Amino acid sequence: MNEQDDPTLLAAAEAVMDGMTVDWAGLKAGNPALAKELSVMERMAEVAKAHRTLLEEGDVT
Amino acid sequence: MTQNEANAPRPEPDDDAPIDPLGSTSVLIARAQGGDERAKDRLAARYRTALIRWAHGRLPASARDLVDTDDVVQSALVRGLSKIGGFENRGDGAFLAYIRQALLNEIRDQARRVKRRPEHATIDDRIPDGEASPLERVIQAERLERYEQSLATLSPTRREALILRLELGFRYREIAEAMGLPSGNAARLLASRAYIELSRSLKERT
Repeated sequence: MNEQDDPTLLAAAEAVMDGMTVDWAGLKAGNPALAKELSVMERMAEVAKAHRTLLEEGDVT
Repeated sequence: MTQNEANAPRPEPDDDAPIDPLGSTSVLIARAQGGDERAKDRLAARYRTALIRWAHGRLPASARDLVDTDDVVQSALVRGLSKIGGFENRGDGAFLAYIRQALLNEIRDQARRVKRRPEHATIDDRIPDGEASPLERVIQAERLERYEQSLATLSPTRREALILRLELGFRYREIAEAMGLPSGNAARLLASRAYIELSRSLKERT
């Protein structure tokens, strides 16, 4: 657990949680030291997107 | 996305609605354990619709033809709530984890039952739990497995926030109320930090 998460990582995570599109290539280019972490977050964003898509497809409300 | 755009909390329809401090899942469980049927009803109402959507994405299509997703969810909820008297209420998302696992087991059982039916006898037996679910069709099974493994490494509080947001589609205010957090923004921060931790856990596994 890290309460001092890098602001760039936190911003990207919040965008994923909010269902926004993230410019991962731009973020990685602008933050090369975080590129590996951002790449993993990008892969997980696909899982997040899949969950969101299925929730919308299965919307019963 | 610019950083400023991402940092600005995305408004949700009921962001300003007051959060009921007595409406947290932990409080409702305690009331239900004391015999309050309305608390049980409120717990079921909190999760039912979201769990139906969640289950819909995990039931193979052939199983959905034979069993009603609503019934599968209702069955898991009824079983879970019937055992609530003996449930250890730690206020850490254990109830959601319990219901989620019960539902997952129920879905796997249903998939196996469908597979055993004669008209499905030609299904490839190498797939242990029957055909792929809609979720498995859009996410590689291996990636989904890694996600589940990484999810298990999170603290119960972070795991609960992430499941509520990512898998069940709760609004931040709803997460705050369910988890007894002070605001929707607190829920947003908790879920986002959980996502970062999840990614770090995944990075260590690859």
